[in-house]
Amino acid sequence: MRLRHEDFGAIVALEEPPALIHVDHALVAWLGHPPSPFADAPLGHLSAPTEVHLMVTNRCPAACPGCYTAATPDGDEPGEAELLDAVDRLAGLGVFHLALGGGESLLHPALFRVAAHARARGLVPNLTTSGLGLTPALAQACRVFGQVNVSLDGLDATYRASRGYDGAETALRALARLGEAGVPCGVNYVLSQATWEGLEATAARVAELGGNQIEILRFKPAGRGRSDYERLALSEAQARQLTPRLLALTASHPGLQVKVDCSLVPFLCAADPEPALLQALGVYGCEAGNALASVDAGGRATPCSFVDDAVGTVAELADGWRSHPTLARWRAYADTAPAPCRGCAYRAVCKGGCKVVTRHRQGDWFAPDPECPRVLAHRRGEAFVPVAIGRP
Amino acid sequence: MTDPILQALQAAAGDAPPPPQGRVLAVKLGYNPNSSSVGSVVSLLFWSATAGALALNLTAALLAKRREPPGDEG
Ligand code: SF4
Ligand code: SF4
Repeated sequence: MRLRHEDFGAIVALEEPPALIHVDHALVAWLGHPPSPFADAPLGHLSAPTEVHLMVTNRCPAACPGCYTAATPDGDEPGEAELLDAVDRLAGLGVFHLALGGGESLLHPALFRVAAHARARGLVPNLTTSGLGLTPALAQACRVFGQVNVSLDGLDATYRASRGYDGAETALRALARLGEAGVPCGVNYVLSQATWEGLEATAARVAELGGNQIEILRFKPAGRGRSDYERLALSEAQARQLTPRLLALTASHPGLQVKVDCSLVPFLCAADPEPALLQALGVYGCEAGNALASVDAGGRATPCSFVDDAVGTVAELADGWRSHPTLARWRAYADTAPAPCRGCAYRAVCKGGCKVVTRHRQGDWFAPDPECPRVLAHRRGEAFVPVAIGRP
Repeated sequence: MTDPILQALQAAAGDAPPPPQGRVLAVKLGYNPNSSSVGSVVSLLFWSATAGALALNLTAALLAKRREPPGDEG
């Protein structure tokens, strides 16, 4: 168990079961820790990210047309020493979880040493992979990770339409190998016009193979994904259908956790979940520069892995966590967001939606998410009608 | 969902009874292997009990647990 002081008390990180628990000052004392130094001098933000995405390589043979990091077979790749140094600095900052990704992370010769080093420094490393090159021996080695997700944007033709090559069977084989090796594993499913129809069939296959989760990611206009964004982005009608559809998926596959990423929170909120419940379950919308930060394969730190608003090096991220002007700007936005976010019951969680989409569509990071159903209704001058959901 | 968390917290606190005013503010379960996966499990958001009724005040649950007769642990 690790405990990190915060303005409100502390975050306690458990590994069994894996959980981040926010506790108040009284429970900090009960757990035998000294009082939080931020009780009297609040920071106004988290004392460190809970999770940092560390891109171990931007090399990848696949060349997917929508790749958000625009990875290529000869992309940037930091050396082992650089990655170990990054882990040390992030551990020193107090980060709990490391999301290792690429490019294709398995191509980095030091991947498992970096993961082991993260463990030794008290961080839990997690991994995303396309599954390319995941042999049974590598699957065994993946036991160092807390969770491994394989990118699987559909089966057969759906995968091909999204990623430009026939990789579904490779990804499914990787998932099966991870399962056989006893690694907690699931898939990432990038939701776009190309993959909208294939979700249920994919979830069924993942459940069959014993995957523990399907994480739905909103397709984002980043990297190569920018060029075809208008064609592939979800429509307003699809944004409204998302929650009922995911709930139906949950009902069909009770053993499979159906999760969404930060950028989909405005779509979920269209179905009016109870705001206090979202907070109690630690749901995060746009936490770029607060709960989240990222370091790319060139060593550039940013508030999130999809944005190119640079903070500097990983050392500058760690040393400047409390004062860096870029981070301050990203954290401050939600409090000053204009209507309809200003009056929205979900602003504290959602934080105005995905800035990557906003910048692509409007040229500015800091404006209400132009694909949020509430924002769209507001712009048309209409009253927002929440999405109706059934009960199980 | 909460039992292993209760046990881990109580184990860390030793024998001390939890302070009645202490509160668990949020519980985020699981690991996120992606660069952006700080959303959540969808069914919990809509099909849990309401926030007020949800057993997120783990302190209350801990207190209740301490009142259980021996042998009822777990
Ligand atoms: S900009 Fe915000 S919502 Fe979008 S991916 Fe980054 S952290 Fe998530
Ligand atoms: S109106 Fe703004 S804060 Fe509310 S859900 Fe939409 S993007 Fe998020």
